[in-house]
Amino acid sequence: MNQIMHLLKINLINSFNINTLFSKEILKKKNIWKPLLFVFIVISIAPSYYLYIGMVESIGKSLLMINQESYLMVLASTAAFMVVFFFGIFYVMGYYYFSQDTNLLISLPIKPNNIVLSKFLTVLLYEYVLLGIFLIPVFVVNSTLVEGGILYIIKSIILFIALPVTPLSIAAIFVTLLMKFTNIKGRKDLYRIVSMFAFLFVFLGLQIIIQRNMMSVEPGKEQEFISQMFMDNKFMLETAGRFYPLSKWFSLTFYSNNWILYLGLFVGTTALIFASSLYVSNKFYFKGLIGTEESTSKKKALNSKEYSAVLKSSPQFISIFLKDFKVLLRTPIYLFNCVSTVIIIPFIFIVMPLMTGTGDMMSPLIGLIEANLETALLIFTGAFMMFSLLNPTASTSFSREGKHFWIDRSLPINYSSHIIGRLISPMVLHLATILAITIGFNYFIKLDLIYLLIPFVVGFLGGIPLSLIGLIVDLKRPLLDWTNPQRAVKQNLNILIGMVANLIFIAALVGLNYLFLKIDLNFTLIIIVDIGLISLSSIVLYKYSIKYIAERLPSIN
Amino acid sequence: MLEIKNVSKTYSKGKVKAVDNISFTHKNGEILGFLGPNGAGKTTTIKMIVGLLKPDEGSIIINGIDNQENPIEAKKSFGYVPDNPQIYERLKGIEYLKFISDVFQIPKEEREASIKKYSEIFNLSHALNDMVNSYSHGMKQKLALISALIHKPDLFILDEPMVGLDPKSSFKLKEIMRDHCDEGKCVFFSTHVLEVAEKICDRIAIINEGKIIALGTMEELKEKAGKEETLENIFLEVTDNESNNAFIED
Repeated sequence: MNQIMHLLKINLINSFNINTLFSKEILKKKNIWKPLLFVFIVISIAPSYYLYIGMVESIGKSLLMINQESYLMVLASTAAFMVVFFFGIFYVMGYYYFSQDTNLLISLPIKPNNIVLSKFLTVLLYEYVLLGIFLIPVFVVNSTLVEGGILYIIKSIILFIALPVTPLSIAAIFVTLLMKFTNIKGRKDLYRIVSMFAFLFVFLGLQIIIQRNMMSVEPGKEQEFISQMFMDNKFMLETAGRFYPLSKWFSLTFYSNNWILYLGLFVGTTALIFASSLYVSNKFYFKGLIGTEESTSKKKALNSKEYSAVLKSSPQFISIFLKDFKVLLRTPIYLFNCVSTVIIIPFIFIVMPLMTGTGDMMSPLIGLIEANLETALLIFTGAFMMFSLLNPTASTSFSREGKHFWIDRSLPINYSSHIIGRLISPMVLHLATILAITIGFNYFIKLDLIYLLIPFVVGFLGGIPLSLIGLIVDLKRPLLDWTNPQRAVKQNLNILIGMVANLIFIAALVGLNYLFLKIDLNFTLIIIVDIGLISLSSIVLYKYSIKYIAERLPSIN
Repeated sequence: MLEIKNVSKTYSKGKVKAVDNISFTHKNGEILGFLGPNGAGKTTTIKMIVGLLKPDEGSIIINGIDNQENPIEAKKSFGYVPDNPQIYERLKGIEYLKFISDVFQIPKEEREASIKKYSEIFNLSHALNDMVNSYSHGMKQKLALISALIHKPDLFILDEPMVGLDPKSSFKLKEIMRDHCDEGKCVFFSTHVLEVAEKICDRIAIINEGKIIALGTMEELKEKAGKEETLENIFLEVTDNESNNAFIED
């Protein structure tokens, strides 16, 4: 146990930079921006969080009105399961297999199970922080629907502690088995990436099918459905419970007189799944881990033709982009975090409705779009810009360099090449995302080419200032000292700061467009003004970033 | 040519003086060995020369260009190999060298010839098409050496270059360093291997606690020591002795 606690402590120090967080340095005048920035981020997020709390409250009230308040906890726990599982896969992958401290740990006389357990607990603690933010309002709202009190608080604490254990254990089992059975000499990274995406697609597809079947009512049976809902206050809970028994037990702990049984079932199942995860880790973790960093070497010299082809000269910025993009695509953790959105977003919006037959649900939307075409096009443009905001490639551009940053810093690279070279990767990913969505969108809604092009072009151009903002944010405080690449692209505050800064930019643009629509400004003129504003901000930000990188490069230690 | 003028660098908000007002000139055509105990300030000095650290005071002139005022132009003049070269693990050796060649804008024929020449010298041709993560420490060191040489720099800066190299590659590197100087260029390198320094350096600088405490040719150092001594003895003597101004060349 002692060993686990020591390992956990080290993991936490490494992962959350706790030493810096609690150092006296933070209180010094020079570093005062750090807590101030944190306060600023909290304030920026506060309105959205307030809206979220309001949303939870209104869901609770709506469910109460239809006599189905017990469904609130089913919804919340199912969503929590999905989120923990989805993120858990990436975290487990990063912490178990790609963290550079693992090699050091396995050479020490530490029980293998303790290494795995300490890593599991590190990820679990991280999940608690995330879940706490989203679930505390749900528990509070739920307390108004059932009888609150000390017992309610105790039940909530037990369930909150147990909740992420199951999805994280399943994620750990999946990743451990995946790493074990794809530990094949040759293209192991490729096998792993393909299997991971295939699994995520199956998982997402399955969820959509379940959701669709769960609440679908056969034509003609609507009356029966509604009367059942009013007669049986656990009707929705039971329907969902057929697919998600753990969520059912979770909710019944609050809504059943037999709550001890359901709490026992929930905690017992959690313990069983956790034990299975430990068993699988014990059996397969090291088999999957050994050789993770192994790379096959062909040991074959290039011939003159190959030399000639590879060594073709390119401008500095192209070379910086190629280097950045290759590393991005070849590092599994970067690929999952930065490139996966390019595949997942179009998949959710386009491929999934086609595959699951939920595409017909779009028909009311199509009518709405056709009736308000100009507003809809502006909303699409904003949505396209939001996809750029969601991608962490720009705001981790320098952080991803880690210990390799000495290379760029000691080379005679023009400042403009630094910026343009690093701007291309996020822009390529942005372009791929919005292109896939535009093509897919065209399948559902037949619009004139010009109407397809407007959000595409303006949304693409909008990605430039947003990515530049991301680069500037990351340049301000690049996170270079990491042993786990996960830290650069997932636990990097720059992503959040970049998102908030991007959100402010988009909000300003949305506000202006709203005004333009209010005063009935000609649509073509609105688009021209938008393009003008985006171009102007791109130029200003580009000029600033060049000046800033010249100042920052020699002073980053 | 490299000129270091009154350069100082402190860490921990001025509490730790890593480099304390050092000045010296490194002329073309010479190999200057930079020696000193652990933590003496060698790597800090080298990092300031290559632009990875900013000096608190003083100036560093490379080929007549101040590296603080015009860093990009200054960086064009040197090739740098750090003590522990961390190179992109997910690039192939040849891709890394192409990147470096593009940065220095080396013409295609010239880069091809340079890469072929040095990869054969260091016996790395067979591995250039492999990912860097399949390389051993020594192979990474060789890749860093090739990347620092392909643009034929006027100043070749190496921090502990012999660490991790096999005996044959160390020998080849020493030959390259000598040839480089014979072409009228200069080599500045730090090392702990005193035999190597004694054998190949035209001049030697010893740094201790951030100060240059000895500077000169081997003969000059021996003369100042007043007796026929090995570099090892001189090194031990000056790094133990607090007042060793006698060892600094005027």
